[in-house]
Amino acid sequence: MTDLDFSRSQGTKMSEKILTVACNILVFGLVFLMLRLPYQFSLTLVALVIAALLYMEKSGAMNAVFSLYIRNKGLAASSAIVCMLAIPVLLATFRYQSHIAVMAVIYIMVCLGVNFQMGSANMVNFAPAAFMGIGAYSMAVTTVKLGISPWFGLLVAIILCSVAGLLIGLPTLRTKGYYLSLVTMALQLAFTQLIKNIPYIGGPNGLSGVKALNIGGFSLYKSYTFFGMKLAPHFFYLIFCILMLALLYYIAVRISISRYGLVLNNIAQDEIAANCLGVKVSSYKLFAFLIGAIFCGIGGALYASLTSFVGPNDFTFARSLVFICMVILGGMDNLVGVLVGAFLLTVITEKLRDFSDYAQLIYALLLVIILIVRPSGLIPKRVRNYCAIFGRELLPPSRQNVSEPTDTQ
Amino acid sequence: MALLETKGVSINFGGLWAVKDVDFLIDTEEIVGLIGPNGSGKTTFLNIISGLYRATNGVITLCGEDITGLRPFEIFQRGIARTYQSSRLCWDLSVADNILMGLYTKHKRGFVDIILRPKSADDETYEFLQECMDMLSYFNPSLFKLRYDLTKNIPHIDRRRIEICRALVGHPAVLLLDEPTAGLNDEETMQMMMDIYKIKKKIKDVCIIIIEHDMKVMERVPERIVVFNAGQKIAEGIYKDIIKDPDVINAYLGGAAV
Ligand SMILES: Nc1ncnc2c1ncn2[C@@H]1O[C@H](COP(=O)(O)OP(=O)(O)OP(=O)(O)O)[C@@H](O)[C@H]1O
Ligand SMILES: [Mg+2]
Repeated sequence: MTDLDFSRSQGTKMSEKILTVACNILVFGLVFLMLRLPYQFSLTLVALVIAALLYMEKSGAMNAVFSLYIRNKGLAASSAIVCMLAIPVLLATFRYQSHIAVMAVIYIMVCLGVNFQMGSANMVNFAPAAFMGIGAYSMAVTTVKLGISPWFGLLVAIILCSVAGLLIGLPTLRTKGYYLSLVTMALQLAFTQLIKNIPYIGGPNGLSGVKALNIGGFSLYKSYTFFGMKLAPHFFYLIFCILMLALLYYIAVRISISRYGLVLNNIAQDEIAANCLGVKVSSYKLFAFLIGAIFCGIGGALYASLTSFVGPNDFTFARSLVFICMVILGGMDNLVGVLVGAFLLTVITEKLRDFSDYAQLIYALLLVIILIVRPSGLIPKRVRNYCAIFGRELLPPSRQNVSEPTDTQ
Repeated sequence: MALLETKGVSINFGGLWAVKDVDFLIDTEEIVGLIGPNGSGKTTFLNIISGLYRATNGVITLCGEDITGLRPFEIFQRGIARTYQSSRLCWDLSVADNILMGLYTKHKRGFVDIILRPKSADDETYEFLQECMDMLSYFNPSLFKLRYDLTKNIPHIDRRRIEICRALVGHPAVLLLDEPTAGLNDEETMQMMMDIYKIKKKIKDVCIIIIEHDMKVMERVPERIVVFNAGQKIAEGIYKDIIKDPDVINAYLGGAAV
């Protein structure tokens, strides 16, 4: 991996700052165009972006962008949030495009959850849709059946998903590799069957009338009119989801650069070695399932609150596969990759809504191509570059040699 | 009192006693060599000590405390670290990450700190990484520049060194080395031997059990040698006596004859 020369970059130059912001504007400009343009242009743009990403990764340009962002991480994060928040504003009057944007944000949340298991710990979990379903049904039951605030529904979703994550995690402690995947697959299929057979939650018909989140009686999902302009009902909801995503993404980044991420990587590659280094492997596997389930659950709850309807068909095995594809396409264990993969596939599916048969075909084709051209995904995982993360370099051995004579003991 | 002691340790794999009735002890600051023909149960013996296998019979004590039947991570927490006959580094992680894992049990900052007090958690990691780099430089100052390289891309001998670094960085009481020179040529074996020597000088209070086939290493590195054959301890003593021991000669010649 390329080393960053830190002494040079310490006092970040103005030009670098401008470049960082410009990059963000470019990225979110493209995001906006992919959402906004009609499907022919949007999909062409998606294809171009994929080609560009492949090229950038190969030529090393992606590494340069990464190091630019890490060096200016404060500015990069804040300008990214501002740019992201510009998207609901730009899409304010476009109902369907706003809808796609919200769906993309929700799917990204779920994919970040899947990534803890599949990317970091190499445990392929085929049940993310089930976790999402648990979150969505928690939201539906609390608001429709119990008539309690959707905020409470969000809380219930988090709690139930933690419990479910642990429960589903338990059998997987004893299984590995393919067997683990089979267990989660079975649980996913069982989940869909189960909710179809519980009349209380609507059985096969699902539940409708799920309440949208609100702040002090001010509904986040409602058409408001500003200065005679009718806004898409998604406007505030999208803003809320973006802020939520920023929070979840922050948590995911912290986990992945801390010892949790490191231990999960170690378990993925050699459980025995990790165990012999003092790691209680089972607790970390449960941790990956727990945190992943919470992310999926939050996504599910937000989804239910958006569509105001939940049904068993929204949380099927096929949906789980979609999430897995998103993570593989983007790049396992690279959070930026996961964002990109989830976003691009959401755009492809939603833009091809009217030709859903083709959507499946394009999906499959894309996945096959990526797996052949770049099995590690569009943006493959990176080595943790601690000098960039901490903003200071580890001291070289010369320090050692200086202190050696004093170390006579 | 012995630091690490095993009494009557045996293990049975479906009728085969891979280790049988081994009484063994090692003191602080000591280096003990373990030799024996292929398949004589040396690795299995280390696996029992480090908790990977559960002994069928016998008792293991560390500082007088019974540690028999503890799980590997508990054994490590008590201060027994090891390396493996064939490397168990994580090849898709950098050198720094691999060694950092050796300090896993030392972390004090919890999940909440990691999320809510990122600075304090990062400072801790930075300190640990610096310790790792110091340990790496003990071995060979030239390894420092490889710190962000993927482990799979570095030379074999350096991987061996890194594995020992990872085991040593947490300052264990006992270090178990399973054939640290396996797969190295003569010259590299010599280098590795010098490294282990250097380490022992630097970190005095660690005791080392080393399995090794190379007799040049066995002559110079350990203070005492224990010989295994067919799962049993057949001899014990200093190198000069061991090579003259008729049982040992017989075991090796018998092994070669088969
Ligand atoms: N998990 C196991 N199940 C069954 N038999 C085993 C197992 N582990 C080791 N053995 C057997 O125990 C015996 C001792 O093996 P061990 O690996 O300890 O030998 P060793 O002295 O380390 O040999 P080498 O010098 O080749 O490394 C061998 O006969 C081996 O086949
Ligand atoms: Mg062996």
